[in-house]
Amino acid sequence: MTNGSSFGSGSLSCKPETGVSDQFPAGLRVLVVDDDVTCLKILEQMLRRCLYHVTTCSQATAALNLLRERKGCFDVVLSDVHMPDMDGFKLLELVGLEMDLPVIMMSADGRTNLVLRGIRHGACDYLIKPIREEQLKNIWQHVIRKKWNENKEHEHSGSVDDKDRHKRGDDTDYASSVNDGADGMVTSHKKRRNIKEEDDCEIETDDPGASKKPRVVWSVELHQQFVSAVNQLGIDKAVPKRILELMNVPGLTRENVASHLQKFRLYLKRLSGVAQQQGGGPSSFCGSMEQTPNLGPYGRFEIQALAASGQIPPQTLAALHAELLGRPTANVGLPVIDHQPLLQASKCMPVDHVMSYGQPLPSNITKQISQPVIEDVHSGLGVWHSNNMVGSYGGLGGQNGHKVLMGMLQNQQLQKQSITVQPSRLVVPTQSSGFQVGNSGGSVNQTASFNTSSVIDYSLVLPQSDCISNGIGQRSERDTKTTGCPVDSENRTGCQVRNSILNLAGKRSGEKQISFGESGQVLNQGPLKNLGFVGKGTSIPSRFAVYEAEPPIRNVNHGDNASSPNRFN
Amino acid sequence: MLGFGAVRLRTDMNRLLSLLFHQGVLDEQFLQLQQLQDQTSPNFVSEVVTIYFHESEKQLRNLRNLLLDREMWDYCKLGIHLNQLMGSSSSIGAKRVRNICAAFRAAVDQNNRPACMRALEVLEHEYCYLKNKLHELFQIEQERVLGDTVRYPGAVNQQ
Repeated sequence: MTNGSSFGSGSLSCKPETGVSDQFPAGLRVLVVDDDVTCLKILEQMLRRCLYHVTTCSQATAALNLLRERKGCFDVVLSDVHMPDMDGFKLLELVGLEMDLPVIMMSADGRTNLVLRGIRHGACDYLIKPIREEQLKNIWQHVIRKKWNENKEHEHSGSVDDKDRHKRGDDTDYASSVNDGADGMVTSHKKRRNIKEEDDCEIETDDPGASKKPRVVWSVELHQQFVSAVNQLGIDKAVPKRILELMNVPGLTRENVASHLQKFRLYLKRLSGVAQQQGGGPSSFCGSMEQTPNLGPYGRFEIQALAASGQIPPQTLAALHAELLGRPTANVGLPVIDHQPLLQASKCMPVDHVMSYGQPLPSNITKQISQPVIEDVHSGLGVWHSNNMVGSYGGLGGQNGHKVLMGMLQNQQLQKQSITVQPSRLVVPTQSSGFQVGNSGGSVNQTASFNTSSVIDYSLVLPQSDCISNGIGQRSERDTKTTGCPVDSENRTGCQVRNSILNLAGKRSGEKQISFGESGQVLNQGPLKNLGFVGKGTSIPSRFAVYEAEPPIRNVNHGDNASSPNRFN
Repeated sequence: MLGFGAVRLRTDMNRLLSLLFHQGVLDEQFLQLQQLQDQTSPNFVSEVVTIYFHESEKQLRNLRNLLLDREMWDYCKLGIHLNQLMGSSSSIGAKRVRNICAAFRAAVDQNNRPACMRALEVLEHEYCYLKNKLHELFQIEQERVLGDTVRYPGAVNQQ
């Protein structure tokens, strides 16, 4: 604290807040950070007139220190955008990350991109100078809003035992999807969540641009950038802020990165966790599965976990993953272009990673996989109703996929529009289509030789979404009917998803049409086949080698596979 | 006699203020500033304006140095200085200075150096005008306050 800073006497007292007093907005503890002393002085006076406790600070770094020293002593932060020692957005980021306080940005510069940047970084308001007293009278609303949102969030994620970190407002959906894995909550909250998410879904499909929380599409390229940034920093030292800086992607916010990093860490953690049980048979896998029921939604980790147990150190896998993720984009052809707008529209998280996670699997695990998958299904069955399964999509592919499905289920009407949006959310084309382009030619025929044509499409689609297929398999084996498979080469993903949706819808509406044979078989091929060619991939760490190696292995796996549906049923 | 002087001073002040408003030198933000002045901070407006002139003089110096530096065209720094000047000017209600800052920034954005130089000159001119006028205003204000303090004891004595 150097010159220009002064402390409101009230704010020094640091009393823990005891509920909402009768003269509520009075006494709100406000920290004002502005390098412009003139503004600081005016703001201080204005805020005093509003009966707030004002603390002013002319340096962002000093303000940050103050906030760190006296956590819980401020209710709201008002910060200038341009400051010489630290950018206001950085302060905003740090405050959001560490203190989780509502931050109001202010600047004379009201250009849209700047305001947008503020909002993206999590500013709860953006005031354009000159600031008037009337505007400041109202800032208490952000404190209340934040508190309410947190309460709501709390309600949703009541039983989440995810100790990793407290989830911030933006991650509400994420939190609830994690929650799906936990027992009791599911049924009680099912209905309400359905309604809520249906609403969300409508908003987002109708007008993605206008939705208040812009979601980032973690495209392959973006994720690769992310991974390389993480690798560069080292996973332990990687903090969202630094990653963001390294990635240098306009429009991407610390929150997006933080949420993504969190998922990435979970994934790595899970990897290393299972890697310790190396050599363990299928039972160990299902064991680990049961231990962490709330990880259920991250079905894709099953595969990765297996990969890890196959003596692949996580780092290697991460690197491989980064490498593999990056390249397919090179062959991304037309299909990608088709899907891209959908992706954009849905603004979903990427499921595309799923495929590459699944890839580096040693072939000797192919047999094991069928077991864990089944175990997974069984252990989860009590909990995983159709909602849950959808929840697993959410965890997988981002909240939106989840939401849409929920919406779908709720409505039980498979509108064309929602279907078209769907695939992009769930099955996630960018990369997968790249893969299809890469290997469709040969492998389609390959598969066709021993299966019906509809099956081909499954097998092609499923590798990318192995855990999705698990989910579907798990459902379909029980009580769903795989509806016809109208598949054309371009539309595979779409069809696949549509099928799954129909399955779900069927289930919801109570028509329990059981036709195991085809669907179960078909669906289960996915993971195995995937594993098969992935197994090769580990021994020959070239993607092209993977492709070449794929067909023969696939045949082998298919053999294995045929038995698994029986076990399922 | 003193009472009459006070009225005259008030009229002068209002006249000057309305002139400045009419010319667009000041805007209603300045009135906000005046409203913020109360018992707890009786010299609030003049304090703020003093700080403003102190700070903005530095900003103007920086701007001039940046513009005169022929090798280095620090677009970013110019923008930051301008932004701050704009922020503080608009906060005290110095409308014309603010507007010129906006024009200046547009010139910076366009990388138009001659326009920047012109803008700087106009800015300095406007700044001086504002400074003189506000100085005048505060002098009248001070006189009035002085008159008030002189008058009050007299009023007390009369009672």
